Amino acid sequence: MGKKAKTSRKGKKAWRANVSTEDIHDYFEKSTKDAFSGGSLTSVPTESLFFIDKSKDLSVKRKIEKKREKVIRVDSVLTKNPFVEAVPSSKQKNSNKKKKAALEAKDLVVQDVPKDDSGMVPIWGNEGQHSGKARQVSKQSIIPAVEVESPGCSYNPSFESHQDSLAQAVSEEMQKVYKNELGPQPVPLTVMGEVIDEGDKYFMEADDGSDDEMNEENLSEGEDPATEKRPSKTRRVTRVELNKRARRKELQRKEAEAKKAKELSEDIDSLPNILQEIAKEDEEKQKKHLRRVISKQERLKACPPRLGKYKFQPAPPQVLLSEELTGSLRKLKGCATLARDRFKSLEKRGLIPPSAKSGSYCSKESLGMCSLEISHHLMEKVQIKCFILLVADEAYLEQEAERKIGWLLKLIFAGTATFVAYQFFPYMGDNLMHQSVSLLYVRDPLFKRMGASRLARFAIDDQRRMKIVEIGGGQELLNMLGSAKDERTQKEALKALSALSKSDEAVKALHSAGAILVIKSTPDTFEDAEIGTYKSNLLKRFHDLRYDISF
Amino acid sequence: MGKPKHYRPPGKKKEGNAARYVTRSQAIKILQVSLSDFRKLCIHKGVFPREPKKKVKGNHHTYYHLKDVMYILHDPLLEKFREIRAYQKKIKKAKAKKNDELARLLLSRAPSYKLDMVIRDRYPTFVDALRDLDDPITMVHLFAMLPAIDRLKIEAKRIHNCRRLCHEWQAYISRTHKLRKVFVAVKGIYYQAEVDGQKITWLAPHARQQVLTDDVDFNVMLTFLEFYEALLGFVNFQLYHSINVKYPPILDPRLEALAADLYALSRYFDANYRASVQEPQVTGSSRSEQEQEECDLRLAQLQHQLPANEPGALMHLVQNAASEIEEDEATKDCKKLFQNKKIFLSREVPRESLLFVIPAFGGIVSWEGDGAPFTGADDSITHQIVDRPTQGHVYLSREYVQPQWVYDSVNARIILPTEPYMVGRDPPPHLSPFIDDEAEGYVPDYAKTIKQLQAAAKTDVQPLPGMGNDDLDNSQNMLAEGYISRTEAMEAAEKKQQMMLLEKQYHDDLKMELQGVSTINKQSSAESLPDAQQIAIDIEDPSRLMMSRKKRGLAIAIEMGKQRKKDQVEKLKERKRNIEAARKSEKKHKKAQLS
Repeated sequence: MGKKAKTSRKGKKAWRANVSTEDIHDYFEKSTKDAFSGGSLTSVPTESLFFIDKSKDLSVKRKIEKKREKVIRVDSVLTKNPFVEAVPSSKQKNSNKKKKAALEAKDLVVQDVPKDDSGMVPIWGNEGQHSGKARQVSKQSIIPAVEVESPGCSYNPSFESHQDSLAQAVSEEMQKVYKNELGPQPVPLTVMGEVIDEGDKYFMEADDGSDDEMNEENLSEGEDPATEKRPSKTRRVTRVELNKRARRKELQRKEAEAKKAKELSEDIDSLPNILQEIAKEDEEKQKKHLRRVISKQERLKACPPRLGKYKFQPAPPQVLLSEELTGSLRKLKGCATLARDRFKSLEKRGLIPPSAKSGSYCSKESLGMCSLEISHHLMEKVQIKCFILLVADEAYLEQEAERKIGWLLKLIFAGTATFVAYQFFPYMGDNLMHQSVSLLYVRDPLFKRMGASRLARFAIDDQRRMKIVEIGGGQELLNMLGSAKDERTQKEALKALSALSKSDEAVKALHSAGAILVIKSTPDTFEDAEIGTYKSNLLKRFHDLRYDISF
Repeated sequence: MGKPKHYRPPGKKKEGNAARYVTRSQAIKILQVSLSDFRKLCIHKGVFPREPKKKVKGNHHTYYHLKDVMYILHDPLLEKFREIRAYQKKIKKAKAKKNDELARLLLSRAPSYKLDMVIRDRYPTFVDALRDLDDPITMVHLFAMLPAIDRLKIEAKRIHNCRRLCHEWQAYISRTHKLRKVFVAVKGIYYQAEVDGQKITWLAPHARQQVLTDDVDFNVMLTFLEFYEALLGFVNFQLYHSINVKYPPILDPRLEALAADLYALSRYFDANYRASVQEPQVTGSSRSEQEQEECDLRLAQLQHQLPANEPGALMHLVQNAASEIEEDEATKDCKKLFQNKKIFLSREVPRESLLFVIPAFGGIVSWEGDGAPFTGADDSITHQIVDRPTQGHVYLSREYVQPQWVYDSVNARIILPTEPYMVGRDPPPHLSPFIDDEAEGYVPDYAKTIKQLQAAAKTDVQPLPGMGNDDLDNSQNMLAEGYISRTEAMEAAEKKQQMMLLEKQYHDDLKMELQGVSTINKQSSAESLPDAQQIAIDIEDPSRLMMSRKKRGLAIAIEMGKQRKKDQVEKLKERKRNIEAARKSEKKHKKAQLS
């Protein structure tokens, strides 16, 4: 078979074969079909195409209805039974939402109220109430927000109430002072001794270790011979011995039984006593409980519970000194630290935890405050208390305190006095002596007097007297006597000096300090006879020891 | 059956104090705010630290109740604070990038928060707010006197606001005559007012420079102040509306410039009152009548409704009505005290306080300076308040008294004789009206004098010759009586008083004896059986039976406190008796010497 001759593909024939005439064919086919079926549907109006079937086919309808009425079991199970209450999955959340919605609605109501120029809204409504549920806030403290000061703090108080308030203020200050003075010494930050090198430390540790080992070895060596010497063989127990043991045991048992019976009968006999004891114990317990309740109440009245790291420190009361009492509002020196007062009140009521700063000023300023607060006619009182604390004469204390400041303060003082006395009497000695002498250095006459009176009380034997003189107490007392302006100070100084002068060596030291001149230059007074007697006593002492007193 | 025990992952959920209380740092962690914001939130929401019985985390921590923390957590304020913090960061960033314009723009649109919802939440009724008003008013008064210091962030604007608020408050109190007590102490002036049956006590500092010490945390103070300012604003608003006055008062700028705010406010009140309250005042009387009728009607109805065995409720209702009238009387009393008195204040007296107090008790007051209602040369002035050693120019028509006269008169509710308060004299002691002498038991001398004067004023009978009365009598009387007769009268009075005392003591003794007998009886019964004592106590006070142990303890504690107080009073009295006896014997001695 021969090959078909290759014809040109670029010809007209080839081109015609490649063009599709499908759409044209389709159209012709469709149009012919339409023509057979009776015209194209696109050109026909809608009404002629469809119609609503208004004829009724009841049977069909009934059938459909029936189908619809029937509830499938799946659905019937899920339908709500009116007699069974539904259990909500989370009731709380639901109710919360409702409340919120209600609140929002209320807010809207509030916002609807016409506003004033300032944009303020009567938040309590017109009747001063809004129906929102209030949160129960527990009252933090029973202390009132604004505490009215005692009548003694009036700008022009009556004498008695003023004295009471002053005494209270002074006693508070003095308590602080005494606590500072008589409290135990703080632990020193540095310890005396030489610094140890790092290298030495290792050596020391090594030494210690070897010692321990040696000891252990020694011990084990010591034990060994003892164990070796112990007889390994156990002795045989004879029948006689066994019998003896049994009898003994029986006897013991019987004795114990008898004892028990006796005890029991005794107990029965003393039943009323036991009952009484129990009653007493109960009473004690109740009393203790009562005491606790009372003390807690008292404490809560005065200061807040411990709310933080720092303790609450009450502010000192604002009392006028008796010199400042003018009776005139114009000259009144008012309190200038009211901001602190308010802040303290916040702390006192427990609204904020006390801070370190607000407590610290007390200790810093206490001495200054003290010298500020004490007025002249109170000095005697304070001094008496000073004496009380040192000698811890409780009977005297009670009497005095009762007379001057009343019951409550008495209690406080009795407490502190016994506390102080028990704690510090063993240490009363050099330390206190130093402090008393240093009190003499203070410029305030009150402190000088305190120091002097204490020194007079310390100077009981020769040793202590000499000690005082060595510390420089004698010289200071003389200085005090020389510079004293009022009689009481002079008297105290003289008293202390005469107490010192009972030892010969102290007199010598005083003489060398130029005591005679100072003593002689002290003016005599007619009001206080004691000064005269002290003076003459002292001079007599000097005379006895053959010092020249004729200057 | 006990509680079912659930599995608890270790360290997660606990019971008791460990679960109920959280430390401050834990609370901050829960709330996701900074410490300063937490402190602010606590103050605004009224959440304060508590002391748990068992401090789980140690003694040095501050504890908060978990419920309180949750209460803060659900407050919209918390979200607002966070928003503000984020916004502050934006501003800071803009500033750091030297984008000043953006920073300014941001600053002008900074979000702020309002405390009205918080206040409404904390004080659901107006009375609640009034009950807690002591601290806010005191704080606002204090800050009104403080200097503005940038370092402590005390702005001048806030101080002015405080001044405005306390003037508004004082103006209301003064206008409605609600002030009851005044006490001038070293710290400042204590006032007590009664609003809606609530006693509100506050302390206003003296007009002197206040010192700001560094031990006071002013951040805390300013946060408290912020809340209190808002609260006092709303309270003032409510109070002003209750008397039909528009709240942010519009003041006369001239008076405001002269720092006479209080007077300006009172003028504003007058103007507003005349305009708006005329009608209610007219209808006031008829309204009260109506109320009376209504009350009667209600009573009649109630009588039908109530069962026969419940008369208590009815009594209560009547008492309520009575108390309302009584309160009105108290205000009436206060209103009338300085009526028809025209008082002029000298330069040196505390003007602010007196301008507040005198109108509160119905007086007309003026002062030296511009803008005053009348000048010092006015003839109709009845009293002039001065506080200087001597008064140069004296009008005969008026009396010159020291400021204490006003305060003492106010406390005594009568016009006290002016003689002891004259210029240059040492005035009698200024007694505290906050001390109830009867309860305390001990009555100072001057208080007795005042009491006699009060009794005299009430009954309009000549006062009995007493301790302090003689200097209060008319000078004519004194002349007539003569010196000797007066001393005799005094002695007679003393005798009488002593007789009274003895009589009282006798009565007391009698009572004591009676009680003593009964106690002895009880003791004898107590000895027979330990339980008998308890029974006796129970019989003595049946209410105690019902109390819990704790409450019983408290009751006993209260009794003990009372006893203590009584003892102290006895002591004071005895002391006084001794002093008097000593004085008397001295006097007799002197007489004997003289003769």
